[in-house]
Amino acid sequence: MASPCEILLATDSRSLAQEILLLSYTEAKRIEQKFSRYRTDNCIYQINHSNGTPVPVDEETANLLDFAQQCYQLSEHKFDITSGVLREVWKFDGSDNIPEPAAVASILPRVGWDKVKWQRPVITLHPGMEIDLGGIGKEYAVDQTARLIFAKSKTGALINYGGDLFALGPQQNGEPWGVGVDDPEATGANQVGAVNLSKGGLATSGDARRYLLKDGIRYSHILDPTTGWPVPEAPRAVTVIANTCLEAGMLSTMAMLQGAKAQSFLEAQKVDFWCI
Amino acid sequence: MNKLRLTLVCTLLVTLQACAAFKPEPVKPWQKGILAEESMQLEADAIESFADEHIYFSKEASTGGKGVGGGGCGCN
Amino acid sequence: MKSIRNKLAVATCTVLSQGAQQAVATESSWTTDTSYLFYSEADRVTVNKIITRADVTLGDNDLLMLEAVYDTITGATPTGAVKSVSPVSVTTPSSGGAGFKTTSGTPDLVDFDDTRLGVNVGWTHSYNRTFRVNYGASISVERDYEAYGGSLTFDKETDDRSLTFTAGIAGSYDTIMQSSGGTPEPLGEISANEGKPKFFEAGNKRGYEGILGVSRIINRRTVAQLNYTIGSQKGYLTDPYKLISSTDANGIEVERYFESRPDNRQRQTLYGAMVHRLENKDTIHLSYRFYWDDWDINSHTVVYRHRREFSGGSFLEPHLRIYTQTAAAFFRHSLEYDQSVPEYASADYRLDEMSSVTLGAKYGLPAWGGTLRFRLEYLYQTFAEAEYDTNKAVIFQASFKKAFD
Repeated sequence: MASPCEILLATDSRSLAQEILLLSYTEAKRIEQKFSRYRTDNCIYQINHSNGTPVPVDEETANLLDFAQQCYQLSEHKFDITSGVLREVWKFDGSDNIPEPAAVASILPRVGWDKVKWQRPVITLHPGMEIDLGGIGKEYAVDQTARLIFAKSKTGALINYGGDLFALGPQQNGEPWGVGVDDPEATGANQVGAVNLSKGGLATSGDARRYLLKDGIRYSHILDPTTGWPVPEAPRAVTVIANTCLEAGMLSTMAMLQGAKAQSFLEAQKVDFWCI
Repeated sequence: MNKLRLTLVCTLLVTLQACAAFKPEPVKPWQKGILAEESMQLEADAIESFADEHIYFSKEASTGGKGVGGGGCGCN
Repeated sequence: MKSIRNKLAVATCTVLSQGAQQAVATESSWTTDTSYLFYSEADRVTVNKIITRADVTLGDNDLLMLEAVYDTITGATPTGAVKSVSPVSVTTPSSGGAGFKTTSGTPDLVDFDDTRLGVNVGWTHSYNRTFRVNYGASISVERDYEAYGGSLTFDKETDDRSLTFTAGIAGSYDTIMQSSGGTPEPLGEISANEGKPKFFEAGNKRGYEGILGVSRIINRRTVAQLNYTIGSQKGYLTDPYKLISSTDANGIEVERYFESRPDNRQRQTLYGAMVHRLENKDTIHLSYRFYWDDWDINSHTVVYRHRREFSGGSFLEPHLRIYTQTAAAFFRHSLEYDQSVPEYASADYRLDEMSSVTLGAKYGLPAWGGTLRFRLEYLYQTFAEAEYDTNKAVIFQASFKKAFD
């Protein structure tokens, strides 16, 4: 998952803590191995290298693909798990390397969930297309871990996988967990908000270090899959609180994809959020 | 002479680098991943050091240092 | 702008409630480690040793350790006597068979054949999150040696667990004799014309030891430790098998005596150790010990291990140990014939000025759900004055460690 994962537990029991830690580690590892697009031994690799042939998937993968499809529809085709191939021309390294419009256009035929044939449990991609569950996986792992911990013990816990988190009940003294919302330009140094979380999910989208800058225009790394170009005027970061981490994650990602309309989108959802 | 100076500079650089690696800094609980590994324990292989202590106890005049207790023997 | 929240919430609920269920491993509460060790000196002693150890976690706050060792020792060891040109007839207390028996004509070597059984138990109890106490006890029984020991060690950690302070005490009570029973009169002469040397009952020695230590987390990849120990032994500290010759001007043996050592010994050590993970992911383990006692023995020990892990869980760990010591004040190669016999004298090579080098490596790999380790090492010792001026030995150890639920 390539980010620090932390679990805070409200317990004095060392054995319970060890058990929960092992449980969580195993689950996070399992999800990472199963859905990472950087591995060559999982179903994502199989799908992305199917070269046009149908690939049957297991129950859990099918559920996630169904979910991705629903998000695609709810976001009016802006949240798209096939948009990853755009990274072949877009390298967000802080430089001014804006790709040629022709290069971007040449990728677009390989982008779009509507081009994917998904008939549960079989998925068929056109050659050259790829799917990436990275935008869902971490939040999904947080919620699944929370579910396993809750099944094991009713102890209070805060699960934090690289800034995507879920609180399962308060601290030992009954107080909620204090969570700081970072200024994306000064991670760890400056906080723009603080929230007390006893139960629920919180997720942040946006990465201030990933952008391109040319002629005074800042190109965010949030790409609109319908155009192949960065979403104009996207917020630097969006943090959302919702019932689950996955829901918070989807809302914050979709808000980013709204660009200048992020703020009004979030207001319409009636959730607690920080939009910077 | 130049060679000597080069050697000295190199030694100094290596030493500085080594110092940086051993620079004390606070370690948060979630940063203890490496320290928790078996190979990072001060007593990494208990059964091996137990065996070693008996070998060297019976072949040398010195003993101890790591802890107390554990029992003696008349090993020759 | 329209709200998609309800639809999204339903979709999220659906995918989360269907997450894969899987069996989850639980915390292992048993770890066993079993080891076979072979130690063999060229033409001299061979030791076969079996060690088995179990660490049992009982609930949150208790840890039990049980360890048993069984070893056999066979072969010859230097007695301290010089190699005789024309051997004198030797009277030994042994009635043959097991135990002490000098081979006829070679009183400079003695054959051993003994077995030892030792048991160590330890109980560590955590009284709170940062304070624990270890209670230890040990017994070791051989035909000619019995040892009983107990220890109490306190560990206190700071709240952030970056520092651990250790304080401990230990006591031991050992009984020493020749395998036929009894101990010889110190510096009792054993030449035939003097008749049998006098024998006394078994000797006893008491030992006390204390430790003060601190270990500290330096940074994310470094831990360091510093210990000071002080110990005192009182009683029969002599080795009942060791001999010392008196020789004439040509170095020819004239008479032979049992050795004699002082009846108390104060020893102290300073021990520092450090473990560090390098940028290239290798782990280095470095330790240094300075030892000094009131028999005038000082020693330096440096141990270096360098461990490299490979994918798949195997590792290779080269190991170097260097040791030097000064001689005990009463160490002599031999006594001078016609000079008066000193109060204390020993020709035991272990009390001589010496240096030892051990070089070897350990290889570990996952096997049968546990970890299998093999190590092979070579020990080379040189002595300044002792009759046998070198000792070469091969050490081989195979161990298997496994955790159970």
